[in-house]
Order: sequence, then C-alpha cells, then structure tokens
Amino acid sequence: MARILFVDDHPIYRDGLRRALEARIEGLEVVVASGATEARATVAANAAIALVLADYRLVEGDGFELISSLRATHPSVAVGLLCGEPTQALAAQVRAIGGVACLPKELDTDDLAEAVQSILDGDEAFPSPVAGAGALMSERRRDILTFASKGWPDKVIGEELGITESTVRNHWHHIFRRLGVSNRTEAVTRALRQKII
Amino acid sequence: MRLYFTEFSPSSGPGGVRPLQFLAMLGSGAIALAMTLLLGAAPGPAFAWWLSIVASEIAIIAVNWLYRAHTPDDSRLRAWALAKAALAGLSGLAWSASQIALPVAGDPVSAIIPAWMILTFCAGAIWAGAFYTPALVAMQLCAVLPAGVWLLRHPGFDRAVGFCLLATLPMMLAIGRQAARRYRSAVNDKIEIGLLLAQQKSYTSRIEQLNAERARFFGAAAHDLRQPLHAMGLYLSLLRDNPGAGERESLVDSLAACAASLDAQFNAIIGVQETSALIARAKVHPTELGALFERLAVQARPKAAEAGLQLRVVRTGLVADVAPDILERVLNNLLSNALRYTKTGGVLIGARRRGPLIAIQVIDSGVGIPDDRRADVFEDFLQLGNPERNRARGFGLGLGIVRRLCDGMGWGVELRSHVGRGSAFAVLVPAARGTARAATPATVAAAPPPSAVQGRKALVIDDDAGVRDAMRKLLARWGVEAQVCADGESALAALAAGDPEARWHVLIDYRLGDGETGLDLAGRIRARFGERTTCALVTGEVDAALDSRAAAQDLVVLRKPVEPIRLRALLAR
Repeated sequence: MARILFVDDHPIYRDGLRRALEARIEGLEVVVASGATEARATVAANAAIALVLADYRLVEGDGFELISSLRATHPSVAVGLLCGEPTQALAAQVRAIGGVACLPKELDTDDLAEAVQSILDGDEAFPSPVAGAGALMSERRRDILTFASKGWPDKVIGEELGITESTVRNHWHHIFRRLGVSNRTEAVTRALRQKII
Repeated sequence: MRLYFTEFSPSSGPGGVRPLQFLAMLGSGAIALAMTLLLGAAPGPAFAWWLSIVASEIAIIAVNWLYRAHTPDDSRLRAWALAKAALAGLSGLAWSASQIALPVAGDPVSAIIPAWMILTFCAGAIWAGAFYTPALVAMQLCAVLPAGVWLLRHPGFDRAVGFCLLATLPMMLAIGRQAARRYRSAVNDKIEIGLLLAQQKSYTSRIEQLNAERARFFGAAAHDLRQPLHAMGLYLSLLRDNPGAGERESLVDSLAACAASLDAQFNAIIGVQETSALIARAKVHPTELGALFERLAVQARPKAAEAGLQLRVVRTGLVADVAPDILERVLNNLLSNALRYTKTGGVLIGARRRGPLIAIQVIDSGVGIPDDRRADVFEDFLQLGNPERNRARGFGLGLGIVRRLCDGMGWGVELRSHVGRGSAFAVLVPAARGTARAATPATVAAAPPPSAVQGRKALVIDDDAGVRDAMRKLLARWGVEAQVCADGESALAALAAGDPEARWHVLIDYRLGDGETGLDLAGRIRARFGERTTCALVTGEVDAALDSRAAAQDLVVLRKPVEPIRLRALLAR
C-alpha cells in the first residue's frame, strides 16, 4: 500500500491522473491537492505519503518551491515534478535538491504508471539529456525500434521478443506518440537521431 | 540611354515628330524669312540654311523611328545613342551655320540675331540632352564653336559678339552637366521606387498566398478533426443510456478508436507545422543516395510485402548536396503515397543525373492521377479516390509535406502520370561537387548524470543478518557506499576507522541485540561524530511515544519494512 500526493491546479487532469494511476498500480492511493498550502497541510497530516509529484505551475507559488520546502520539512518523503515541458535545467535543479523525478505531462498513462512504479521501487525518473523523449522509452520499446531499424517486420520482432504481433503493434502506437511521428520509418529515424537506439 | 530615345515618346505628334522639333523647324523658317525680308539677307543662303535645319531634324526623327522599329537590346544601345548624339551634333552645326548664312555685311544687328538663336538652341539642348551627356556636349560644342570662331575672323563688332558667344560656352556646358546629373538622380529615384514597389507587391501577394493557404489548411483540419469529435459525442450519449455489457464494450472500443484517430490527426497536423522548423535547421552536405535509398527500402519493404507489392531500388553511386533528413522525409512520404495508391505491380525508386541536378524518381504502377488533378495532389488534406475520407487511408497530408519541404529547400518536384498505369514523381536536387562525407558516427551517448545518492556513504546497523543483506544489496544498486554492522560497538569502530572527512548517513534499527536501543546508540554516535553523521531510526513498531522521543532528538523515523522510495529520499539529503 503506497500513497502519493499529486499537486496540480487543473481539476480535470488531477482527477484523470488519479484514476489512471490507481487503476494501473496495485495498491496505490493517490491523494490530490490544488496548491502549495493545501499540499503542505496534506503531507503534514498524512504520514503515509511517500511521494509528492507537483506541477511546476501552481496558482500560488511554483511546484519547485513547494518540493524544495518539503525536502527540508519531510526528509523521508520523495519529491518530484510532473509538468508541461520540463527542461534539462529544471531537471538538474530537481536533482540537486534530492528530488527523484522530473516527468513530462505528455507521457501516456502507461508510461507514467511505469515511471511512478519504478520511483516507488527506489529508482529515479529523469529525462536524460541525450535521449530527450526517449529517456523514458522502455527497454521493450527500445528493442522494437532497434529490430525495426534492421528492417524486421513486426511478426519477426514479436517472435524474437516472445510477444504477439498485435502487442508489437500496440507498442508501436505508443512509440509513435512518444516520438511525435506517424510511421515506423520516421520513428526509427527520429530514434536514431535522438540516440534512443 | 534608352530614355534618350523614349522620354519624349508619349508627347510625340503624328509621324513621330515632336512638338519641339516642329517648332524649331517653323521658328528657324520664320527667322530666315524675316531676316531676308526685313534686313535684306541673301535669300539663297537663308533658304539653304533653313533646309539644313529641317534636314537635321528629319534625320533625328528618322533615327527615332528606326529605333522604335528595331527596339535594339542593351548591347547595341550604346551605338544607337552615339549615332543619335552625332545627329544632334549635326543639328547643332546647322544652327551654327546661321551665323555664316544669315548676316548682312555691315549690319551689326544681323550678327546678333543668329548668336541669339544659337544661345536659345543651347538652352534647349540642356533640356533635350539631359538624358545623355555626349549628346548635350555635342550639341553645345557644335552650335557655339563654329559660329564663335567664324565671328572672330572679322575685327570690330563681330569679333566682340563671337568672343561673348564663346565665353558663354563653359557656362552652358556646366549648366548642362548639372541638369544631367539632377535628372539622372531623379530617374534613379524613380527606378528605385519602382523596384521597391514591385518588391512590396510580391511580398504582399506572398503573404496573401500564405494566409489563404493557412486558412485553407485550418479549415480542412477543423473539418477532419470535427468528425471523430462528433462521433465521440454520439457514442457518449449512447453510453449514458446504460446499454448492456457487450454493447458497452463495443461503444468504449469505438470511443478509443475516435480518441486514437484524433491523436493521429493532431500528430499529422503538427508534422506539417514542423516542416518550417525542419527547413530552418536543415544542414546540407554531400549525401550518398544509394545508402539513403537502402534505408528507405528497408523501412518500406514490410508494408509493400503486406500489400503484395514489389519494391525495387535501382542501385546508384550518385551523391547529392542535400539535407539528408529532409530528403529522407520527402522520399518516405512519396513512397508511402505510392504504396497506398498501388494495387498491383510495384514501386521503384532510383536516381538519374540531369545536368547539374539529380532527378530522384519514385515510380509506381498505381491508379494514376488525371491530368486536371496534377496540381491539386500537393494540396493539404486532398485525397483522390477517398471521398468518404476514410482515415485509415491517411490524412492527405503526405504530398503537402513533400511540397512544403521541397519548396523550402528549393528542390523541384515533377509529376508524370497515366490514369490506370501509374505515376512517376521526381524530386530534383543539386548534385554534389565533392564526395560524400561519411555519416557522422553516432556520438556515444553521454552517461546519465550521477544520481543524487551515488557515492553517498551509509552505515546500516541491524542485528538481523537478512535485513543487513537486503539493505546492502539495495544500497549497492543505487551506487551508495554501504557498510553494515550488527551492533553499536562495531558501528562506532567503523566510523572511527573511516575517512574523518566523510559524511555518513547512519540507519539505526531501534531494537538492537544487546539491549541498547537505537535511540541510545544515535545519541552516542552523535556525541562522538556529531557533524559528520545524519542519523535515522528504523523501526517496525507503531509507537507514538517513540516517535515523539525521536522527534525530540531530531531523528527521522523510517517504518519497517523500509520503503525504498523513502530510504532513497532520505539518503538524497
């Protein structure tokens, strides 16, 4: 049973994220807060919260300010940002205060759930400076891209990875979205250029 | 120089005779007549003189007429202008001759009148010759010099008039030059304004074009995006009616398909908008087309095989001066397009040298494009043969992207097509002068920056060997330098033996074997190593009293089983 706090001033996104993460991570409870003051009060009252993820833009103050102050008051609570367009500089700042994550909001829910799960298991989730969008590309999807770059059709990739062809196609869909492309060639090209594979 | 011929044209009278010339001929006739009748000048020479004036003007009219008939190009213009200037000089000579033909011996007034005519002619020359300095100089010199020199021969009044006439020449020439200069700068201004206006007009029309294109683009995009949105509304209203389980599932699937379609369309639209950014960062360098084709073919082959089509690549050693990523995107779009519109046969990609250019061809045996739709296929959102706008068949943006990228890079695109037999697209790119640069080796991905806990030192004190082992493994995974101890004494020894400068995170189990509590040990460690250590208490007990005692000692409490996320957060301090 893990509990995390998500701080965002956008109610629809807040609610959507809560539902999506709770549905995907067994035993996870997501509590939400709309601003820094509410977030501080929630963390103080709720000892079970292990992770605070905040949007950078909040109505009062900013998310980074919030998580920095939480680091000082609650050293055993992990903190991170989940914001629109995290820059490398922002990620470095988060890392410098001992934060564990700086995630882009454009992540699809599966990837976000994967990232949150890995944070709960004690890992960090930062976009790497070289890989850009590919930083959070899972091993499996990287493999698919690598095999595709050799010209293998989905069927063969599926056999190699021990998954069905339709699962491979499903992965492609996520890869396209992540890389902002519309077909395999562009995906492989972009992946190569961004040094994801 | 052209103006020298054309400037008067608008005011030219019938037969190309300019009013000024007409007046000159008329005026000179009147003066010759007046001098003959009133001052008793010899009629023969006076008439001959008048004829010479008329002849010289007719010669000029003739050269103007010939000029208009031939409209010579720029290289011949100079010869024409010099010829006309020479004729203008002749007309100057004719006027000068009045000083010889008209005066009556012994009548000083009869010498003044021709001199006065010559000065009038010179003043007129300033205006007429301002377009072309050689003509101006020729007219003034020819009109003044002979008459002046002629007058100098006779002593007395004539010589004085001649001297004065010659004395006006430098002044006349200077005024003429000044007028010519001023006129030239006026003409240049006019030309410049004309050019600027033309430029502005082309900018304006380009902007209008872009605006119209943008409006068209968003109009079409909005139309296409609205369809899945409408459908979603319908499916949602059906869902509200609480349908059966099976029906609900299919509705949810439909909704998911709509969302996916919207997403894909947004990506495609953003792809179009990205083309300008792509062009802005384009880096052109010699690129081997053979390797590029291979890369494209490798990607397209599965799709071709799926559709039962053949994909052929004609091997080539040609090297083009292009931005390879942009060319790849162009050809990729052309290939997908070719595969989409081909039912049987295959698609071929190849390159052929064409002068300084290379024509890269993508040829298919597909449905072909009717002649009257050739230009339209490069429009955004246009799909031939997909009137129902089936989104599974693409969005009709591929060739629009091709057009944008090629326009941006200055590459030509050609299209030949026969309905029912296939289409051939060709992209014309510049051939490279040098040799291909080896593809830059992929730079080794930089290692991710060390995590916040990497290299930290941690000391774990727990009497349970299993806990010690698990903690050591977890900490090693994070790159934390961990030491484990079973009891307080060995922990103190380890801290004393270690680097005296190092900072330690000390994780102390509350219940230690020999009866000492973690709280006590924390106190001892702090007393000896104070500033260098950050202590935390690990306990499985939920005990408010313990928590408050720990808080009083400013100790963080971690509950067992320790959550990795909290441990990591703690070590990151």
